[in-house]
Amino acid sequence: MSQSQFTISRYDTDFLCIGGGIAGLMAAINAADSGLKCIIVEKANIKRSGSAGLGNDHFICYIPEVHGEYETFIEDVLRLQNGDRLRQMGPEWARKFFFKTNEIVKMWDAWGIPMKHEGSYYFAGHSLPGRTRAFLKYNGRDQKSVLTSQAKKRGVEIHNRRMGYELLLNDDGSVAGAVAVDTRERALYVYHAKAVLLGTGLVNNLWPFCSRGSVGATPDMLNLTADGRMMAFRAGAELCNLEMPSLHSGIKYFSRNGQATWEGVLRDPSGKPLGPFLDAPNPLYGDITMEVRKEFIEESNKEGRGPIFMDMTGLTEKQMETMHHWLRQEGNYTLLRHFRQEGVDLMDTAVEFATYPLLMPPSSGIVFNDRSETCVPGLYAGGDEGYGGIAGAAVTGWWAADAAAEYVRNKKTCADTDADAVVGRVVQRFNAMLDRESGAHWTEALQALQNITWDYCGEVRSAAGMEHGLSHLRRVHEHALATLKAENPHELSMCLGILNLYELAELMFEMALERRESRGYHKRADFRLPDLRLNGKKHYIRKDGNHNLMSWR
Amino acid sequence: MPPVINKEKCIHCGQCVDICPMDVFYGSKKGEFPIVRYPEECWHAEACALQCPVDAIDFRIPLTLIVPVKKLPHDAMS
Repeated sequence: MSQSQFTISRYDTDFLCIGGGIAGLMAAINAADSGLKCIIVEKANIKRSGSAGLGNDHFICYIPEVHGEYETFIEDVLRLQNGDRLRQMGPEWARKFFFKTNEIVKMWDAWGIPMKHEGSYYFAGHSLPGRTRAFLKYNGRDQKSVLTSQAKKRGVEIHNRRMGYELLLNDDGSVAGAVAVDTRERALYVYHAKAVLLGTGLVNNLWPFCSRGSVGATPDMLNLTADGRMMAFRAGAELCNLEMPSLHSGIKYFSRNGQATWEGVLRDPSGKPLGPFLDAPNPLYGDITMEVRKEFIEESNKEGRGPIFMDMTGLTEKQMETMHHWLRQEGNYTLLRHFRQEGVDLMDTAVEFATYPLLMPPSSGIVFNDRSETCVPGLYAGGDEGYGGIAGAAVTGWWAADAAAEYVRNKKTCADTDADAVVGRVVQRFNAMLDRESGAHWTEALQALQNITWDYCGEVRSAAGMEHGLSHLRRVHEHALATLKAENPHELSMCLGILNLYELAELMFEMALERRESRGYHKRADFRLPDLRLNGKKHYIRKDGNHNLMSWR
Repeated sequence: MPPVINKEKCIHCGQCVDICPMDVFYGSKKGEFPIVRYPEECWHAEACALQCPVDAIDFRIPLTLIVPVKKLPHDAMS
């Protein structure tokens, strides 16, 4: 096991963005405008990577000339999907956030991401009939190409096919950069940076998904594996609410996020609407029945009232054409190809919808403030580690660069970092996985993990089950570390992502044990009521030496 | 095998290999016909087909992804 098998390259920069998503790109653009030297490290190809890679069609934002008074706007937004998440961020954060979205919409439009539809701002979907519409429909299909051009124009370096794996720290505990590993070659990169942003996106695959089959057939991309969350945690940053799962719903089997792009009505097999909001399609508001209660579809199935369909009957030809346009902006090209191949005409044929299984939401992530600062000096977080989807990523990335620019200006260069020790440790681990004669494939490790999370920390939770499950998970984790085999750097990056999921799952078990109440989708069989003393509080975890410290505030 | 590349049309430009977010074409080389090395990891969002300059990429939808559909009785609707 010699380090010589890996080539090692070193870089010096002011600001390193790990994850080339919306947050990373917006942070790099803003930081470059402030005169910082920036590098973005991206696991795939930045133009199509991550949750925003194939596009989006909804951007939550406040545009004063459309919405009028902010107070009326925010009152309605708090009633919508993810209102609880927004409430958790606090009213000051929300105000600052929404006023920033207005600036970003105009900036993006000027850069070439079309934020207007037929000449004006068009807000639709995710809305209660008759109330404020907060989601701007926009042409997001090529948003990342546009942002990439803007970044490159400002001299930002983009390093594709490199997975950020471990943060580097200075002696004083501040961040000193990161180590990344190539996903195509046996190469390692050491980035010395004064400030680092983690924008590695959603966590996928922590629980098993309902449609068995291709391992990649999940609502989000398979390579979204909590890399940022675990890098942050290992470097001493706080994570929060990992035990609070969320649910989503959408088209059955061809699992995709983006339910609100479907402009029909949810109906039972007899044609009766499932919810109280609409009895005919209304593209302006959409049917938010499943947003009000995500498990509604699954419950209907279990009670024999299903299957439940999204039915577009009643849309005009022109409205249907527009819906197809938005489906393409949202990245549903293959789904539409499937309907074409099958001769399915959405004008008269409804598509079945499903409640998707538990998932770890963006609000269960890295803790950061309204400057996107974590508790580790020089370390920032943004994107799907909070609220607001694409808009949230754009704003938190932007804020991170504001704060980082100030930090970098005042930061004295530290001579001593833990880079050599980290490189030695990770190279040894990577070589072991690549050089083993035989061993477990990463898909095997993923399935083992999902069996355990589902059985012991899934829909039903109890102290006895979780204690036993956690101990078993740790045992399987040890086996995974000792036996995972990667044929090549691509498989190595998948192995490393899955190992991050194991670490995250263990923290989730610990936090779920500590939350002795039932709340949301955290359902304790041994504590059936919510503990009202915990209302309005978040649950935090951070590393303290060899122990994990949990707290509420 | 999700992306299916038309051998007649493909010009071996390597753009699909370069763009795929899941790297399902891992190991394919520019100047050669792309190999779908990891089809089961495909996310089915067509980054490759959108990039292809000669429209050489089609998709075979895996059996597990076929969407259940139904024509609902219209007389029950208002």
